[in-house]
Amino acid sequence: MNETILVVDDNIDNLDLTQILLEEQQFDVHTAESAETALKMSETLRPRLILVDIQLPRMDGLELTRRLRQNPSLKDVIIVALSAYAMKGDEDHAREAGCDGYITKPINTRTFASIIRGYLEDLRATPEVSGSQTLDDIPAR
Amino acid sequence: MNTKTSTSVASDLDARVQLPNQTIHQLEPEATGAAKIQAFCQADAVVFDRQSHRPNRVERGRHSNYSGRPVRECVLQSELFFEICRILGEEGQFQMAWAGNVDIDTGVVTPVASYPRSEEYLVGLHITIHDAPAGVGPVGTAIRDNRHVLVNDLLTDARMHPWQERAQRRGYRSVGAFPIMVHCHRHGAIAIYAREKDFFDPENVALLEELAANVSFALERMYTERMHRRAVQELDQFFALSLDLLCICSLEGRAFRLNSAWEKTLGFNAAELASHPWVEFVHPEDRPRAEAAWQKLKLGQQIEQLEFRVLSKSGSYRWLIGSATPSLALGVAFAAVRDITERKSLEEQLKNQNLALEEQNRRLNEASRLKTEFLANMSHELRSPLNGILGFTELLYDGKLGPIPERPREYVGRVHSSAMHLLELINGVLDLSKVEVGHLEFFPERVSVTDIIEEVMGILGSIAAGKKIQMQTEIDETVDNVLTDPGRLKQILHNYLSNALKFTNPEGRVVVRLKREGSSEFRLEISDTGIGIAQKDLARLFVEFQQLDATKAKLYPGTGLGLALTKRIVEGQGGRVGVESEVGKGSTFFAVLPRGPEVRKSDGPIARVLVVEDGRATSLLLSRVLEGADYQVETAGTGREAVEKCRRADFDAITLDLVLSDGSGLKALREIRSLPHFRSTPVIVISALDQRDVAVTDMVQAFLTKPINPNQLFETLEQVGVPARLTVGAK
Repeated sequence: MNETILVVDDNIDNLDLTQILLEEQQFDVHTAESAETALKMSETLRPRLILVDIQLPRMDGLELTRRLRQNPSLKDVIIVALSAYAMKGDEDHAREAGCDGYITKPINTRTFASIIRGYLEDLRATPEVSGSQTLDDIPAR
Repeated sequence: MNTKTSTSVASDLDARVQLPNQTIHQLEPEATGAAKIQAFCQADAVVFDRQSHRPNRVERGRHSNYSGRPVRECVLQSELFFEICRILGEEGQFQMAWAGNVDIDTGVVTPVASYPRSEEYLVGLHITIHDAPAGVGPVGTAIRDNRHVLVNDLLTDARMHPWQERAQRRGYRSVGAFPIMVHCHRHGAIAIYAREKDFFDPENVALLEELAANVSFALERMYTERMHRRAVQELDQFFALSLDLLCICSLEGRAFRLNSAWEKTLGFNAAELASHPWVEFVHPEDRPRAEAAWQKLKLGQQIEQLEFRVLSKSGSYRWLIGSATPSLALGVAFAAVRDITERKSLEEQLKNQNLALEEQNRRLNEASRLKTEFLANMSHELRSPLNGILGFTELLYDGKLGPIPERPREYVGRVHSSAMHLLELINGVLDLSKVEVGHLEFFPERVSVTDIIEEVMGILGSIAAGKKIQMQTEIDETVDNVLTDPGRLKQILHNYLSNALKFTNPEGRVVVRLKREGSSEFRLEISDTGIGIAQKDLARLFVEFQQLDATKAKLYPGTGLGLALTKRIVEGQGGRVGVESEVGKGSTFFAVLPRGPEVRKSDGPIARVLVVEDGRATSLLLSRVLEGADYQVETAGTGREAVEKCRRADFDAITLDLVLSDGSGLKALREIRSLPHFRSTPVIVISALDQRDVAVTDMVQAFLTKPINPNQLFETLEQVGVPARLTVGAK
């Protein structure tokens, strides 16, 4: 399989966690801690999928997604937002920016890799994309 | 006989003038020294030859000292009559002359003046104009036939029979009577007596006829003048009384007649106001408009409702509104003006208040936006590290990073469950904060409560199965279909049901009931066979962070936020929550929510509502809520759009946001109200602020504050007579 995945997150712990979970599934995982690095890396790396944290310093994940989408050589890349935002409308913003999927943090380690695999198998309309639940779905007790 | 005819003939009878329409007009008593009526000067005068002292030598003489003086100057009939008689006596050397009026109703002729005064001949004199002995004499005949009558020898003339004796006693021998007509109606006569027999000849008769004609003319003028003066006096009264400021001014704008309201309003007296053209008193900013209007007036156009400020003596300006009309022929303009300073200042106040409210609204929106942003950031900041904690502990616990001994594994599990608890807490607090900020929005739809109950029971089914708890439902199918927010209903059910499962011992029982409550609500009940709650603790149940018993809290972990949130969600929709419980036996939690208006399929046309709202989200929410209740909805995002829609279509009700991007909602409403088919359409103001004081006018029927409570909205619509399905025939 060895599909190439680029993970963009400014939180090293989260970056490592994602990397561990994906490498365990034999993915070729590369990481970037900023949007700027991610832009440069994706040019040469040509990943199949990019996992983008929305909340990044300087250039945020939405802007990064927009720029990636402007690059014709990356037109087939799958971009999935990974966000700790849990307000209504956040997912809409991500999809408007050009994301194919949206996963909320905290992620569920037991299902995370299979969700990513789902995207790679071109299940863009996959219904279960959420690692966790949004605030409005969570029963508050 | 009538005593008034005797000595005092010249006193008050003279105030009566016979009007053309035959009624008697009572003239105002007036001093003879009062302003003389110069209008009489055009009357031809009859005079008598001064030198001859002979009555048969009278002739016209324009330069005589008495040329027409009485005709010109007398203002009272009695005065005029007396002067004429005096001239006939003194200058004409007649033995006696008298003049009298006839009462057309009775036919009786009454002497008014004589010369000499208090003539004995007239005492008890009875003359009528009827065909009777008292009516065939010269005076009666002259008046009746409107021609002069001469009696050349009254001692032998049978017509004089009733008066022969008194005439003989006074030494009268011949008499002439000349009728006086006023506006072609019989008015009276002048009677002239001479010592000589056959005194009257054609020459002096012609002159005397002319004299009578002049008296007629003078009386006509006198009458007309009095009528005119009366009209002027009436106008003067109103002019003085008027609360409005009235004036007549030259076409140059200089006032020459002002009523007292001017001084009361502006402090300047009439002379001060007349000293400059009015435009010079106008506020410099309003002057160009005032001058332009006045230029048009000088071309013959009216000024209508011009609003302008005018300087008052105190130095401040008053707001006036005025209309003026020119009379180019007279070279004047008439103006009526009203002080509207009070109204203007109220309008100004209202405008400022509106601006302040808009500003306040803007700031509130900004604060709300900042708070939302803060919550989003908080959510991110707190949840990001939890991602690491939960993720790594899960990896450790699952042994994916290598085998892990039992004790550490157990502790890693505890770290994980503590982190999960923390996550729930964060979510709960955030959700609760959203309620406080007013972000708790409801999107009611027609839903099947049964379906929702089944869905939630499905989600929690594994927990129930794990504890071997039996779940049952008791459902009243007739309240299955309600108008409510399905997401919120799920949340309520989920909270109650997971609570019940948590506090119910294994192999217990949980029952979900759906019931009808009153005429407009439904009731959800979740009963369990759990540990129950002591009576004293019931009140604290729905308060946030209140888990009842610290020891139990350890047994049944939770955030302590679920019930508090449930309460707010239910109350936010106009419902209520509660609990009944018995320690050791179990608890029943309930929520009562409005069912929303029933659908009455055959009840006539659908009510149309215009939603005027510039916030897209609110507009969308209102539309969804109203459409959910079977209203037909049109939206307008601006005041202008609202007015346009109202011009083109009819609506049964309007909801109105006070603060619109293009101005005040009330301003738009005023325009809408001026459309004939919107005079009585119910208007419900929906505002973020409690602006009841400002908003509730005759134009507004109801007031609601945001956030919108759908059921309150429906109730209000029903109250103003616009239920979702209008009854047939009603508007």
